[in-house]
Amino acid sequence: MRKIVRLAISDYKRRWNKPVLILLYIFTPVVLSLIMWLAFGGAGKNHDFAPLRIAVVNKDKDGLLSEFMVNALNNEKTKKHIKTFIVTEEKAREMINHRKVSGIIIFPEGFSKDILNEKKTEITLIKNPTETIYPLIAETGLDLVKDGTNYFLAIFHDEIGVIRQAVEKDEKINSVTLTSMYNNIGDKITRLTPLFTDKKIVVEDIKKKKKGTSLAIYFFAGMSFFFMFFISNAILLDMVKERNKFIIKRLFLSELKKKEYYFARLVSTVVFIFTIELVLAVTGRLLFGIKVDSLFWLFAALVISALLLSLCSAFIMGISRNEKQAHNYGMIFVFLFAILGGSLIPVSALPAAVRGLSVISPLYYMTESMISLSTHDMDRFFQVLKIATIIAAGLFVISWFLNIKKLKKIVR
Amino acid sequence: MLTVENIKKSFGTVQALKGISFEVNKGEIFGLLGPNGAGKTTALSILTSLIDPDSGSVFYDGENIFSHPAWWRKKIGVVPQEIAFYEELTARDNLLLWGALYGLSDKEARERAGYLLQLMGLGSKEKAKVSEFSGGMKRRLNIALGIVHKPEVLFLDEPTVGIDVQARVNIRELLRNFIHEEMAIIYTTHQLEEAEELCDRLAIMDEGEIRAQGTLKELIAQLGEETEVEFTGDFEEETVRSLEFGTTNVRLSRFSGDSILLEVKEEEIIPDIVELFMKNDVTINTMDIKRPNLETLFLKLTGKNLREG
Repeated sequence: MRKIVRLAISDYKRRWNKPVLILLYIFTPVVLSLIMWLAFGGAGKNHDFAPLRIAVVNKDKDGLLSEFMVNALNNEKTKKHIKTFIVTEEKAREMINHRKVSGIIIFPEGFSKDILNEKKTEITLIKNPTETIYPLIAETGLDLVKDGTNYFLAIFHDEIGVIRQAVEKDEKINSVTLTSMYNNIGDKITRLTPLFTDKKIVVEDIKKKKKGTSLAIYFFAGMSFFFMFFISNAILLDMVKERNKFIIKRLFLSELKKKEYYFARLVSTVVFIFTIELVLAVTGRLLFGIKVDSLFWLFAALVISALLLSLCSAFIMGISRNEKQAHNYGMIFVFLFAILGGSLIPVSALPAAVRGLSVISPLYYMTESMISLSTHDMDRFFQVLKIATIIAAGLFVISWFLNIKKLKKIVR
Repeated sequence: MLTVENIKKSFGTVQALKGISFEVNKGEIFGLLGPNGAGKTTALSILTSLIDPDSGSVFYDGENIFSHPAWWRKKIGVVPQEIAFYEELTARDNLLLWGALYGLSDKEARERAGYLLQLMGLGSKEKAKVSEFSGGMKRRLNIALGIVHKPEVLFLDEPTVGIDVQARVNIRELLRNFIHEEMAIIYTTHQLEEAEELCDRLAIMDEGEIRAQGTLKELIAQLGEETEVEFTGDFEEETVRSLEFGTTNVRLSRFSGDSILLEVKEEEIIPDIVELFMKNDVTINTMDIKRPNLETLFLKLTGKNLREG
């Protein structure tokens, strides 16, 4: 054990020999994610997105409901987040072709009437294919509208019936009916309020905490792990270099065993990566305002990600015959895992056929664990952490076997 | 005592060692001389238990080293030709690391590191990173790492290669004065002066074989070459040729008006020759003795110049 500790400490000390390179590895992901973040509107006053630009085509002329929704999209409160252009379909298509809007929402003819008559109808969303994030937001927003409308129709079914009859007969609703409806609606809202209160609080809470951080954590975590993978490869490449030098023979001529050597190397790499990750975590907090509730789980996630990265690199070194091969394999795996894992491009932006392959990238689980931790989605966090731990355990066994086999060839 | 018996080793179709045998005693420096490809490194790799021989045995104090490699590795120290330590660390850190790997306690390792740093003249640089060291300093640290655990047998593979003359002399002194008495040393080198100066006994290797071994004197005797003595002065051929040197061990090899060259079988008779010249009023200005050396011996045994390898 003393030999492992001494070798690991020496190895760890050696890693700090090139501080400029280490600083570069820290600053590069910070700068890159900062640029990405700013590009997506992260520099706003409250770290908000730039307003979502949507063209609205309302073919439901004089429709009460569509009119209400269009107004809701276009009111003073929402203007801060959504900029709507109420235009014809032809103009809307022209706007999307010129990338002036992220999407088009089309209310079909008879939309309000169909809803009031409980007939199925649909709002069309045309997404701008050149954008990734905003159309997704528009789609999510539309889903919320759809769900909200359905709930509204279910809860206020009776009152809608009265309105529908009045509309059909083209007559005004008398004051008694109006008063009765008003009271009913009031009662229902009063009854619903306690049900919605908690939810509302949670929504506001998330809004407050998530405000502007989700994109930051996404880019920052992705970029950081991408560069950490580079570092762990660079560190363990040293192990392959040593195979052809006398220094490794000198080590094994002492009382050091091969498994002790490999284990010490792995430990020092994990500790070094963890140290850099801590620096990045502090940077993320200070620069991007990324916060987590539990420092314990943050440390746990960082330890597991450091372990997983080191084991990925150890696996690469284990399958490489020489330094050149290790370098090439390292580059292939780094970029493959980074692209599939969403470190460079959001996973949602990947082609559908490729998106499913994200699960093979360890970087995916690392980034996901950080995102879920910072967005307080602990169920998702534990799920990805569990998968990451299982992958790490598998890689540990495989890379152990591969590397010890390589070391046995060096000295009898 | 280390006894090497008929070691053979082949790599594919190449026979690297064709059966070498020698013995090394405690307190003795045994030199292995040979050009590149002679089999020196293969021999050292086998003797240090890094690779197995095809046949043959090596005994140390009666124990077969191949049967107890872990025991043997504790007994030996290896100073390789290449620099084999971590240049990103300090000299002290390197010594402490290898001390720990050889099972020394922290206290022992610290004491040993301090002693070796002083011994190697690196005391003032103990906190500097090794990457800042000169070639000679790195070589000295390389040697220190080989003896950090006080081995009984030390293998030195061309430990002075690639460094300047002053540093080389420094290391030679170190080996002769401080390390020699404590252990048996097996030393490979291209430097004939080094071998002549340092080694108590030598083996000349070529093409996987030991061509000759013994002390330098024994080897030269095997060579059968004579010492040449060149005199300069004012000579008359008749006078010189008439001189009777009184022994068949002296032969006039060359004569010119101002120099003569004599071949003598025993150096002990040179004073008698000088005395004879003086008695016969032959004026001598200078005298130059050219002894047969290792280089001559090596050339004769292998047909190769050692430096050209």
